[in-house]
Amino acid sequence: MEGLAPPLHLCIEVRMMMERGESINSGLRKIIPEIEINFRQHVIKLLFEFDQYGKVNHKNFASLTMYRRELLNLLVHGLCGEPILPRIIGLEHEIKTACLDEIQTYVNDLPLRGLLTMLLIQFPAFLLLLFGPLINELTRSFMQ
Amino acid sequence: MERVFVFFEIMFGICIFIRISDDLRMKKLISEYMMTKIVAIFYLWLFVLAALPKISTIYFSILAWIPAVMLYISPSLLKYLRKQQFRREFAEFLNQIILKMQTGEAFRSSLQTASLNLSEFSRYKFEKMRESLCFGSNVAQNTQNDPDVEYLLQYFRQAEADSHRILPRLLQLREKIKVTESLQKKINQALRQHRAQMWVLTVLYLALLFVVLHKYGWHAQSRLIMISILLYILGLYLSLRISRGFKWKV
Repeated sequence: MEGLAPPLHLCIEVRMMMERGESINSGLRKIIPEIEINFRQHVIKLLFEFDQYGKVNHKNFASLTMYRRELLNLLVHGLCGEPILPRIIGLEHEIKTACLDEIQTYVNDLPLRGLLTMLLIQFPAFLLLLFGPLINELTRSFMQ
Repeated sequence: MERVFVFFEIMFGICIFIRISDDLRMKKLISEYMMTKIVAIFYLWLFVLAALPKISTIYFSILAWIPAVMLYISPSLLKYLRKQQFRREFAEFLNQIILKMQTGEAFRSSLQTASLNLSEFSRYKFEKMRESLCFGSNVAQNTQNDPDVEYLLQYFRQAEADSHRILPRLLQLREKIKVTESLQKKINQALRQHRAQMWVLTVLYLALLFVVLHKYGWHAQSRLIMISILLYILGLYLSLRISRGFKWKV
């Protein structure tokens, strides 16, 4: 089930897990292998810190994008026992919107990137193949 | 000298071809009988090429290596197509299971009924999954470690363990698949145009290369042609990177 943005994937899994009546602590441990590898290390760190010290250092999430940061903050609240299902549903909706925006940005940039590659590299290759031998022949005939 | 080159090329080509087909046989993608047939056809193809009058070495090389390249890429292509087909059919399959369960049928019997409408290959996969669900056997041996199948199997197992909530779990799975598919569809729509443009350009380039080789020959313009081919391959590589390079930043 690839193709989802890592925070959206985690958000959906957490929501599904909560709707099934599982606790966040046990549910998160079950879905850890399914989380994208770069994001997984933050989730593992979060669980480890919560287990060891009973609290989580929020500075650890500073390097993450705002959606990932918010999701992890929300999970910390959930681990502390607060009811987070409505907030998870709201966040899921926000992340979906952000994903659609990101796709749209990518779609807008794609023709320009494709055109640059084509104009700078593939077009000269065409020209070289089309006119190179002709110019070579012409130069040779002038030399004679 | 050219004949010696052609001779070594044929010998090397046969070795490579036999090796590729043996590899496919080892992976159980083709039978031993099929392998013999494929290698025999390749021998015949080389014999026909060698018997052709006035064929230049470069054309001979290109034509001789085409079947080997096709044989090499065919399993990955087949695997990709079957995976896509499985994904396409799964959504419909899940709908059918949910429908059957909504009308009061049990999970396993709805699984069996719904699998009857699948294509042969997908049905084989689901049969293996069902077998694994019933007897707890390892499905990985039969499905070549397909992550999709493993995920679904795991999901079905968990759903069965929580037997009074199978239907809500299946509904959740359907919703997740729908979200994934809709995002994937949007990305693919954007990339389709770029990929089509790339392949049309490649066909045009190959046609032009063929015309130039035919008109001027390889030896007279070898340096120019080599530079052009390298440039084009670099461009193609960058285009492929662009079209495969979508990574989530959210």
